[in-house]
Amino acid sequence: MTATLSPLSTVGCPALLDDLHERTLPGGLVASAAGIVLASSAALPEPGRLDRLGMRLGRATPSPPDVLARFAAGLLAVQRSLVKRTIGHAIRHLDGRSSSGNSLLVPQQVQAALAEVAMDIREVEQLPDTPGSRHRAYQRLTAAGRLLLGLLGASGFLSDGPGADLHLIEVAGNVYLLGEGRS
Amino acid sequence: MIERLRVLDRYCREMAPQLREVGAALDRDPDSVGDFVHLPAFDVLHQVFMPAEYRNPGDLPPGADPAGSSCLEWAVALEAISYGDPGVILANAGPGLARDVVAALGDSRQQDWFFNRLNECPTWTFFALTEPNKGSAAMELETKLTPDGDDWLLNGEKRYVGNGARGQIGVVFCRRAAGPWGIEAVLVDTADPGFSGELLPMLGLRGARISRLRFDDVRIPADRILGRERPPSRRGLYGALRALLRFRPGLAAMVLGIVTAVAEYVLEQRPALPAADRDRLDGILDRATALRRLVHEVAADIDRDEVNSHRIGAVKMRAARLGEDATILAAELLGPASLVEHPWLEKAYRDVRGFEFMEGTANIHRLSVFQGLVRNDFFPVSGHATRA
Repeated sequence: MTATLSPLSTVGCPALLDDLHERTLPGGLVASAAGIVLASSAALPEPGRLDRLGMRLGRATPSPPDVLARFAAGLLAVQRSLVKRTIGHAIRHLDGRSSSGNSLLVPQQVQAALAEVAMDIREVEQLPDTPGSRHRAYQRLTAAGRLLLGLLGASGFLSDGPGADLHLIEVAGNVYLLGEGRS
Repeated sequence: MIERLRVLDRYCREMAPQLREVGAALDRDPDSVGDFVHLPAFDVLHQVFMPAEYRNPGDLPPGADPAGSSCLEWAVALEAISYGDPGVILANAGPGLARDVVAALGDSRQQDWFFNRLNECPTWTFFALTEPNKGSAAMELETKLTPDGDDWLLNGEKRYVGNGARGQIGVVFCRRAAGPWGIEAVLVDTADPGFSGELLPMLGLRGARISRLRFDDVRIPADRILGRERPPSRRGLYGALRALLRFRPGLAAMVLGIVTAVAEYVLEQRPALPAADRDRLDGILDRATALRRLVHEVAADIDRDEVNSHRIGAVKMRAARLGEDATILAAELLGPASLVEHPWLEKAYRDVRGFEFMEGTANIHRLSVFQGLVRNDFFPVSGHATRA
């Protein structure tokens, strides 16, 4: 089986977060309702545990609710794009591997899993843009991403591959989307 | 659970809390494992993994008396230690997954060569099966073993090998001839010319030092082919499958240790969980209880030489999924920013993902369960499978 795909973007989650900060609050960084800022290692000064993956943590006064809402909607769009990109990565990865002379894209369960994730993305795109919906969408996209990583085997656990970006967006969702609108 | 295992379980659980700090240190710097090998947990791992005839005297409590080759014993010890940190087990020096291949296939001289080395000083070992583009499909491996005078030459590449680049000795699976019986298991000394290893950057379980290995004309003396006097059907591939099947219940048990730790952590942090949330957490604990029984069941079956690969794979696969479900739920129940405010939880959240692919992904095990159904060999006959 030969897959026909568009070139993959290589911009990682930290840079995508920085871009979202800039679009949401030009010249500033958006702090969650709990006063947490997540951005790239280039945007924040203090190294921490996530530095190895290119992301840092900061603390600041929580951003206003309207700013947080716009950032949350943008974050969900970043998560959708990362999961969508991982579909392309998975198709390439599996197409380049074989078992019993067949591409690993051939088994029905692999095809079904890829199709499920694609349908999840389409459905999530249509959800209402409210705090509760955004969090539920984040949970569904997290599950979809995990399904894809399961197809990648050990390569999905590399810190320089899509598994790292999906981990970082899960952490970002935990900071900015979980409990959004409750405070 | 029999008394000997209860004693072992209690002893391991008492030492588990101090392993949290070790796990955090290994996550920051995987090479720091040498700073911790004096801890009692590492002695326990030595006692339960080393064959009795090669074991150094240890400090286990009276009554624990490990057999050194019991899957059930491993499951009990590995779950209890993983309650502290699973990375400690994977970072540990010792025979690891190679143990079963050497013990099952090796003649007495080969076993001496391998196990005596481990007793001289902390020695890391590896089990090199997985190859680029092939995954762990053992029958399709391409690393070549070709004759060269009285010796053999090893050429090829392995990927995702735990402790590969750190190890001093290991077992490498390679192809001497076409077909499933053309696969051999050879003992490799990483000091030999032609061996090279490179660490791969991993998201979690960093102490395992998962690596890529290359073999360029590595010379293998004929007496390093494991089980060379045995028929081809009872060496290479047989040894690989045997080791994988025997280790899978232990992997599942490790996840159960993390799951229990995560659930207890949530209850410590939020003792007054709302009823609906408590119910969801109880659902996780219910699944852990059920899987623990299944882990002990398949491990006891293995110890009695009743090996059902479908059931063993199913237990490992479901445990891996439970680990992910438990950590995702914990992150939610501990509220916004829990993954940055609770560093231990964030580490557990990353680490459990590693169990999905170790020794076969979920899809591989699902297919195996299906094969078990077709063969009417998945569900135990009533009264057949035993409980520990």
